[in-house]
Amino acid sequence: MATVVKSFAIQGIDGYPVDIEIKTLEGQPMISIIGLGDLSVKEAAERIQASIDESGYVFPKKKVIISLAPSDKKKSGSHFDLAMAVGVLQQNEDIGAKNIENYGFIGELSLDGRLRACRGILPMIIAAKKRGVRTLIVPVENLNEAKLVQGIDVRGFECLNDVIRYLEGKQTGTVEAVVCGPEPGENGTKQLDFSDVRGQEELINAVTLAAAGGHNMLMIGEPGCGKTMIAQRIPTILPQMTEEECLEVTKIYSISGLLPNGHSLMTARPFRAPHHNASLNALIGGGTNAMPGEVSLAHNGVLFLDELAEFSRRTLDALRQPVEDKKVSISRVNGTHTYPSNFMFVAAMNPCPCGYYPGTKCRCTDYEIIKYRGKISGPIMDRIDIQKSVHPVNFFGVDEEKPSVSSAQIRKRVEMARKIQQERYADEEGINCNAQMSTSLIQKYCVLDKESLQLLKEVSEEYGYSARVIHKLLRLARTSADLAGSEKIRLEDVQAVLSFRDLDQSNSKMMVVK
Amino acid sequence: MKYWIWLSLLPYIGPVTVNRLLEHFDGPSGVYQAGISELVEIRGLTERQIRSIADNKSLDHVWEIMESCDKNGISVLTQSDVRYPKRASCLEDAPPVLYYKGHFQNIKDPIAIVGARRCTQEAKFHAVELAEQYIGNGQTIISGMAKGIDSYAHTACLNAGGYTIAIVGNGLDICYPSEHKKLMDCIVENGLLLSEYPPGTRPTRYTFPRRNRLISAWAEQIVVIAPGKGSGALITAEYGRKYGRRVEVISCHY
Repeated sequence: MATVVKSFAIQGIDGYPVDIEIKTLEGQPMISIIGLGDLSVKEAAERIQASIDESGYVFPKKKVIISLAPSDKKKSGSHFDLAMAVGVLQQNEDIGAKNIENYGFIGELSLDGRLRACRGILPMIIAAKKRGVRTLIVPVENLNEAKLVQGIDVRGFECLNDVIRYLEGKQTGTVEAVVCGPEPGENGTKQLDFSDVRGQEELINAVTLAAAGGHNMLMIGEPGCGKTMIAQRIPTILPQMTEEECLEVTKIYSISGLLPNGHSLMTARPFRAPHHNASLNALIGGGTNAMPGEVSLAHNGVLFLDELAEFSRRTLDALRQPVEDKKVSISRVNGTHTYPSNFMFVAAMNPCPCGYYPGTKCRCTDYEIIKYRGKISGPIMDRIDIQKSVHPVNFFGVDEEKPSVSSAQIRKRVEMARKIQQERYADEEGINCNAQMSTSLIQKYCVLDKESLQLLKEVSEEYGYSARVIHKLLRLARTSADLAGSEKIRLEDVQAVLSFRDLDQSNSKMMVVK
Repeated sequence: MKYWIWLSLLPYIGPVTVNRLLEHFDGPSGVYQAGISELVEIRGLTERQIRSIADNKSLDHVWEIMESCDKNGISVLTQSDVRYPKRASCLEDAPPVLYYKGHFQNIKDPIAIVGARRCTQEAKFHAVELAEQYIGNGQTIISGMAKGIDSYAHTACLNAGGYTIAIVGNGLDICYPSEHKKLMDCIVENGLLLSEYPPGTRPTRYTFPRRNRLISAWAEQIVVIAPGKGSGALITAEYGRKYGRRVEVISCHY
């Protein structure tokens, strides 16, 4: 009779159960693994032979067939090792485990019989719980991550021998969490704070507004003026993640293998800053197994693209769908995977090819500048509400500038503004923040008084703003009012947001043919 | 027309020689049909030049150029054309053939505004201000459609609804620099784009000084803004002095 051992695999962001069936037949000693496994699955043969030998058992001198069911789904990963090894020993009656169907096994084996950590534990455990597995056996390094799921007995082990002893009822295994490393994805954001920033008050106001209303933002400034410094601190002022959001983020990091061993829930919002030569697949997600890309790794956090104009046009244009739909679908031969990508988009670029416009150092012609700025296609620019130029700080005057307010204070204001918005859009399907307001909602919620309207009209005429830009300004003004807790949009809100279209204003002054 | 183009393409024969030949013969077709014996009689013609005229009788290349002109909407202006300004055609090194796109209009007190490609904001505002002032006087602005001052002069002129002439150092089917595509289209629509080079000619370091000479020839007055040391703008000024134009150099502080 064949032995069936339970394990799990990942498809997209979710896990699914895999039954590992082992059968030994009389014949030439060999081992055959079927069920559309990739090379890492096939190579398990060598690993389990070595670790069974190392653990003091004899690998059966028979034909061993291992089948990974469902057999029509492609599988990859080394985490089936443990289940295969236990199954082979059970089938050969080397061990006397009882009720093996109550257990689930996840873990890679090393040649000396130890268990190695695997990626994607979290989604697999969720799948195990759904399937009704009573006890899940994982490598001890993955225990912390595994403990995130309540209502399932998870046990961590260090080597194959310990697992066998546990199955035979001779040992209990580690149940409690082990020491945690630092949290990944936050790049030490715990230490970052807006109070480190000096002399950029106007910019911080813009960032606060962006965070409060879910507006995407572009910073324009010469090299070394502090764009990156500001961007890195944005996650510290976004509202705290809910538990559900934390789990979503942890899941994505888990399947990407970015959770360090011994780590549990990610509580800080991620900050991702891919380099500008990032390929389309790296940004959006892809590869044969359709892994999550940067947009998904930045889910619930901040995606920061520095040197926006240096990104290839194709890569940038691919951002449209994730920015708009808050999720990204990747189609591969294996199937279509949908990953969430609800991030705040923050970009930075130089004002001109040399980087120093409008300073005296700059010798770029207006036509070159327009061409440079034109590298960012219209659809992407359309999705950016705030364009703010960053002015360089005088290093020697920095000490006199008073430090900015702390991240905690800003976060409080942001959370308050978000709350107002949630209440306002409670009845509107799919709209959570001001940035998502449709035209009809703008008419409903962004009513200006006469004075403000007049001001908006004058400025729009001066810079030749299109209706679309005016809508953006209205959304921003709404957020500005929300931040102040005001029900109506006030004149000062309009005044404040008029300075948030610096690129448009600069472009309109360029000496080029219209 | 074809003989005009043929004449302008002959190797070893520049505009000065062409103009001398035209004094002796009845138009370019006369030159084409002239025998060696007739050519030898002309003073100052070297043996190499005579051979060049006598041996290059094929018109294949001329047909190619005319076809390419047709395809790209380029027209040809010969020296015999009444639209060829007297002030330019009377010079001994006036090119026999010019290629153009756009339209001719009454050219009034043409003023050339040329200058540095890489300039400061200050120089830019200066160029724009001057251009607007001259346009206000109803003058025509000539420049070279290069980066920097040249482009600002054209742009200011076009934005003010003026008429402008751009003289470039490459074939008119090419836009150089490429970011001036829109500017070039706008000049063709509202002004005149000129070149002495047939379509297909790429801009090189040799074509620009000749372009500058042409700017000086067509303009009555020349303003050079923020030129660099040994820059093309100064070559324009040099030719301008030679042709007896009014030349003004404005240097901006760096």
